[in-house]
Amino acid sequence: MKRKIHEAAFIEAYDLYADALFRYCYFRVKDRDLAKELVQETFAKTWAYLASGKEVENLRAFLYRVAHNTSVNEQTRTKALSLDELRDAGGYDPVDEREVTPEQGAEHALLLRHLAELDESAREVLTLRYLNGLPVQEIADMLGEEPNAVSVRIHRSLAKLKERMQ
Amino acid sequence: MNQNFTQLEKDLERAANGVTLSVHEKDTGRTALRAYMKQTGRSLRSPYQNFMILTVRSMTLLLIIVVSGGSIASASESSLPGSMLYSVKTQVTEPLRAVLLSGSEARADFAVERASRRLEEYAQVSKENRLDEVTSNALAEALQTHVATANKEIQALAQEGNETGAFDATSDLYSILEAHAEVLDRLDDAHPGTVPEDGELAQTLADALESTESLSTSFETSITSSLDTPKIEAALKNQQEEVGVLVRALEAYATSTPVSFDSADALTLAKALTEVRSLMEEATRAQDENRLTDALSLYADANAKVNQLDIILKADSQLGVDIINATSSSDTE
Repeated sequence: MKRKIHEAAFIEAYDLYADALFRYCYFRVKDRDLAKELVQETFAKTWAYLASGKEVENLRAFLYRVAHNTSVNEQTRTKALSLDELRDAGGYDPVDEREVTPEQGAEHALLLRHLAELDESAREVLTLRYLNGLPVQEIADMLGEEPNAVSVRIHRSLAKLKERMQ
Repeated sequence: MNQNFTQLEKDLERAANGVTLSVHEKDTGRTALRAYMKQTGRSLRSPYQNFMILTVRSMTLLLIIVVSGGSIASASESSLPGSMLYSVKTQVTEPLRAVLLSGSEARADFAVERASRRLEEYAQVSKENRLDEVTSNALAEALQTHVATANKEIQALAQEGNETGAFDATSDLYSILEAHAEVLDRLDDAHPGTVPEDGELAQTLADALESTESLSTSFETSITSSLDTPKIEAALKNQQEEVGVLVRALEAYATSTPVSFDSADALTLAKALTEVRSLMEEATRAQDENRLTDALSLYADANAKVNQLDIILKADSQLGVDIINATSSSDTE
């Protein structure tokens, strides 16, 4: 029952990675609905690839690559995201209110707004590294860069973010 | 230098928890993905083979689908008996997919899937009080055809020397049929009279269960009595892999707190998964002690349980009837 097993494993991957891919797409296109569509498209394209009989060695890395390529054609919104927009659009919605005080929630939302305003390159590495918790090596593989170069990019991006926060 | 960013790094990691899909969005996305995956089969061969198998009527419908750019085929996937798109699904898209599949295993898989679909449709139509005699008989006939096709392909698989695959396919078919029988029983309990016990479909289902159980037992006996260690190990590996993937998938599903779940459902699912895990542990112990035959039986039991659980969860979510508790509790008692 290979097909059933493949399907179950793929749905498992959806449950595991949909949120992370959503975050990745969200900070690329800065539009919640569009990010949701991109996540669906990413999974559909990946399934179609697997269904054609091709093998994927590292599914998570493959999904990120597909998400990257799928979102690259989308027009990134040029306007800045406001705090209210992040909240109203559900772009920022703490999962468990008991664990996040209103002050912390506001700080996090502000941080994400500044992150969203960074240039694409900085936004991308910080989202992958901290919001999605990917190791540097995996980010390097995904972007086709050396791990050292990625570490430097992350460091510089953190500096830019900190500067904005001050 | 890095130390300067420690707090910032922590804040970013914590802020990530707030940017997620809602439970409802994830449920919707998962359902849409499942529907898409149903349409897109694995192991496809050249689309130019076996087209002549399609009937003239099917070819006419196919033409309409081509003209519509595939949107009709896509929309027909969730159609039910009585809907105009239902014939597109059962007479065009499914037969087309069936003829494009390569290998007995893939064809057996799809026949099992089609049998499962007819049973899902039967439950849905019954629940909506739209089950008339014509529909009931048509679904029973389709079920009989799909089960016969599955059995034919399974026999072919065994004749090709893939007895392990044949055993897998038969035990899967059996557990799927058994799970649907449970779902229909529970549905009738919740809405008395919706699923006639003496109906054509009930009889077909009972016959299919009987013949499939006998076939499954004969393959299991044949594998274990062959004393062919590599063959038994291959069967074990397949069962082990399948149970592992399905258990992980169900765990991920449970932690995503689906909208249709209440706390009793979550508890029952957790209990059922614990039972499956203990069967797996027992099987691993048997394997370590080189009692391969026992290990195979235990993994097969675990696989059957987890397959049933998968179908019951789906029915619970689709039918809006509390299928999980009734079925699982009667199963565990």
